[in-house]
Amino acid sequence: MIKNEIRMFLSKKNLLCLLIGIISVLLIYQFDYVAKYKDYPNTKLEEISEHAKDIETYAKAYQNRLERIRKEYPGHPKTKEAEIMARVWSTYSIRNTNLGSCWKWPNRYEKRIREAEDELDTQLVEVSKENIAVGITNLYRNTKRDWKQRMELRKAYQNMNQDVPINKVIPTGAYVLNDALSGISLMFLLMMILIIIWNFDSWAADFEQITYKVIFTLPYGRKTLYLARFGTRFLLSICGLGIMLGVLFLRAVFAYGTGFDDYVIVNTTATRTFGFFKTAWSSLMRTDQAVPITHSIGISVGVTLLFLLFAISLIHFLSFTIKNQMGTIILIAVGMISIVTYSLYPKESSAVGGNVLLYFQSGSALHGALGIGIPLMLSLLMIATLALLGIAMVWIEKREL
Amino acid sequence: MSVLSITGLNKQIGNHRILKNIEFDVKEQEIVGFLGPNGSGKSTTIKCICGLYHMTSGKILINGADVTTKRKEALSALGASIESPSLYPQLTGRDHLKLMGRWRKVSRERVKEMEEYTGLGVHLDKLTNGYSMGMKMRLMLAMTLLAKPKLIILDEPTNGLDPQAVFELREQMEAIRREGSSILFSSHQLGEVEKLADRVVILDQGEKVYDGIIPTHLMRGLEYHLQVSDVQRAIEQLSGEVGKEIRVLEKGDGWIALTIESKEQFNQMISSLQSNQISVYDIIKCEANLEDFYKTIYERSGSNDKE
Repeated sequence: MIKNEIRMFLSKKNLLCLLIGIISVLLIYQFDYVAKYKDYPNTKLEEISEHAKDIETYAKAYQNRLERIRKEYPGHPKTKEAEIMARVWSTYSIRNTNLGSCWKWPNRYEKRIREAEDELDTQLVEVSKENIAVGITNLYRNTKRDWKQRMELRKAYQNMNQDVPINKVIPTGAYVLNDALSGISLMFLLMMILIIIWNFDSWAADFEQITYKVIFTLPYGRKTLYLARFGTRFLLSICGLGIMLGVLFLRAVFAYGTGFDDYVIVNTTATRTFGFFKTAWSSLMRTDQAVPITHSIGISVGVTLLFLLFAISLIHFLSFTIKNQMGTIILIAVGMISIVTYSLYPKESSAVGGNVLLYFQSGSALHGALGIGIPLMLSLLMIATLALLGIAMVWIEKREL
Repeated sequence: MSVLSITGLNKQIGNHRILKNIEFDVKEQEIVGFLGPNGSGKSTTIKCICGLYHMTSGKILINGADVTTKRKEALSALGASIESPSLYPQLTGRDHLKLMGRWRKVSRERVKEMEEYTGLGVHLDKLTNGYSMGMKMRLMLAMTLLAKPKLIILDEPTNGLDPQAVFELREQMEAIRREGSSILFSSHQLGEVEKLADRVVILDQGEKVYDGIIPTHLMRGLEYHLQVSDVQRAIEQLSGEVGKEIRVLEKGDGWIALTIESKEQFNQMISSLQSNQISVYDIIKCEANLEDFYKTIYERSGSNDKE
């Protein structure tokens, strides 16, 4: 039975899709990952020039503020804060200008860029310690949480006597794998499309071709037939995705190395909590931690595998129930668009965390953005899959064919 | 021993009773014709046998195994081709036989044997979406026979077949019976059923209205057209004197068509007419067929409804 299911899965359509998938992976690597990597200096330059005027303005303003406090309110309790802010903004202004020059030739001035970044972040330690409110000045270069994450990463690299990469999007093997599995990348979208194409006709085709009569008059129970097909197609779909990710990985390794010694930030509240939690960055900031990228990849693999198990079980159930290929694919496409659209909008953690359909976002989950601990997430995915399979088993037995 | 045994089969959907207490069986090496007009419940009965539909009540045993409780055992003894041939358009004929061979766990030699049996030759390596109906039927039959089932169900096997293909199918079915399998087949081609079936089961509106041998074997040669001098007096004479064994079917200008139950009554009938000064100018013996019997059954069934 399993051999037959393998034979049926390896149809011309599915093999062609795999081939198209592999070609797409290579194109995505070249025109998305490599393009972003090569464009990163320009992105930084744009960012730097965009903030340059603001930095100038704030530097002058804080300097003026300090002078005014010293002149008009000597000994004022805010003097220390004013001194810190004036000094920080002044350094920021100088460093920002230097960074702008260095980013024009990043390969030549890599060390200087690294030093400037380090100094810009290190001087904020005092600001953070004094609990000085920075308002909308973007002093932390985005949020305080972003600053803390940069500090954590720097510490992790320094502990291993490694240089912090200045280009955050270097498409090494580990980087592309981590991104592909994050749930919010072009690669993941491609993977989901292939999963749908490989599985949407799992039962609908048999009902349309009337070959279901051949299958369901075989000397096997209906549940056995359903589970054999589901299990085989799930494993083969994972193998297909594995081949694609393997091609992506090897392509990246060939160009930029494995990247296994890189670090990424994960949130330990997210990785250790068996429950829901608030997604406000101020509370999550304390539990951000730099971990080897392989840890992040490992967790993402687990989440993605379980999500795909759930997704494929849902697709099979829809295919069996709707009995029509076009109907199945339309419904899945509408569902997918709805979920992706919904996921793009910020929302309260309770709305996100309880929705199993959003658990494809392992990257967001690792950062705590879903507001649900990964242990609970994995458990809910498993429960949802088992529940769906249970419903499918009952449905299959009761159904008139 | 019965290869198929159906007792008390009922099928109800909502308030609509589709099958009403169907009971019949198929014995070893028997070919049973399964007849009935559209909507009589034939396909529903077949699907209940094959496990595609659930019975509301009743029992179906295939080779002694209950389809509901011992599904695997029951379906192991069954080979079925239901309605149109169910083939994968993206696979070749050979692929189909290999698939079925694996599902049914038969040896490669048996698969090769069935490849020969199809008689498709080079067409076996072509995709089935290019096959004619006859070729599809041959392939379906080979797939059905692959595991040498005790019971074969063929639902409308002659649909779409040309006369040559029908003739070949008939020969194949005879050969299948000789090899030890039983066949239950439904068809609207009464001529084919008459030639092949040992017995017929006839359904009407979800009920079994006949189950037995085709009585045309007995009826053949027992329908007569008589040219007589006085039609009215002849009818009165035959109805009154010889009795209920003679049934007048039709009458015309100087002739009557009638049936008698036995050859012995033939002499009695002629003697009776002549002794009453009714001349018999001509006697024509008519061949009755299943179509006539089929009509008779439905007329009787209709009469019962009215009663």
